[in-house]
Amino acid sequence: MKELLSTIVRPLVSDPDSISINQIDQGYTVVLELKVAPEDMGKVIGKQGRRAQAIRSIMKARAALTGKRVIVDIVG
Amino acid sequence: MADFVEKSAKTVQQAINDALDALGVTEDEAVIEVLDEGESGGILGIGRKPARVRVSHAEVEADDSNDMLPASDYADDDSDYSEDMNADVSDDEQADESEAEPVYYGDDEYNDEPESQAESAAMDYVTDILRGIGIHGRISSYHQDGNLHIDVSGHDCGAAIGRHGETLDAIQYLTSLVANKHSEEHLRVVVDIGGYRRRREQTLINIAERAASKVNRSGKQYRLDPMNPAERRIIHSALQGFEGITTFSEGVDPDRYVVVAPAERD
Repeated sequence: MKELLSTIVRPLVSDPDSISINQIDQGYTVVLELKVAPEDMGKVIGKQGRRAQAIRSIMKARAALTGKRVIVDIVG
Repeated sequence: MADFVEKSAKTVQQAINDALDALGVTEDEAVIEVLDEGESGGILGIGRKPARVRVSHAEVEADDSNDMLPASDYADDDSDYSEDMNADVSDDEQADESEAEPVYYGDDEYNDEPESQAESAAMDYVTDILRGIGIHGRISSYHQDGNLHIDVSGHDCGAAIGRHGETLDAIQYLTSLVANKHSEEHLRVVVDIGGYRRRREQTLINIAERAASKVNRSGKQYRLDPMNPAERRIIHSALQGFEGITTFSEGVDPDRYVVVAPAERD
């Protein structure tokens, strides 16, 4: 899960080294806390959250194949 | 893995349960794709539409406790996943819609093209994402009408397409962002997986034509389901040459829809 999120996000940001992802497993649910450099926040959220929505949609596809539920939290 | 069951029922959950029973698996062992969430209809159930789901055996073990590295996922079947970042399908190849193997060309032609950097970045991105989701496939790209097309073919691509193509649209949107970082002019990127867009386009044209003949018969306007801009465009252009019919869009995205109406006569 973590790797896929990082794969998706890395090419979108200007400072890939500042990406950090914290994974919290809660039974069926996997929470991924995504942190990026402050100047990259807009690049992962997008206008009206469009980028964030797209990222979540892809993560959901992976989760569905593994029988899990995934929540992507973008933390500032 | 062609083993799947499609079921309709009043609710999504009911349809899933029916399908799981029919397949003889538990929810953990299945891949559930909601094809249509259905509509409960009004108080009297008018306009009710059944929910539809497709359930198939899960290929991946439900145990995901240790993070899967794409590399280890694919270590034993590299041969299944061929990609050629500079592959190009010639234009006349497009007319041929048969399931023939895509034609791969050498990489000598495209390396010097200005757009090749955008193209290879886009190909890498799609490849990495699909590998991460756990999809096996073959990927190719070509330019047509100034757009960059990336086609993925393979079995069990459903997960990467998603309900109403939601996942596919997400992949296409982000890929377009990545490609355009490497392109000075805006490059439109079209990602298709398992021929979904092609099939969907035909479905939309059928929907449009059916609506048009309904309007011609009744003389009343007819409202289609909400669609995204790309899908609305297909409807509009499908009915452009239709005698006695006009089309326009109403509402606000994501609930914007096309109305098929009788053309005004003068």
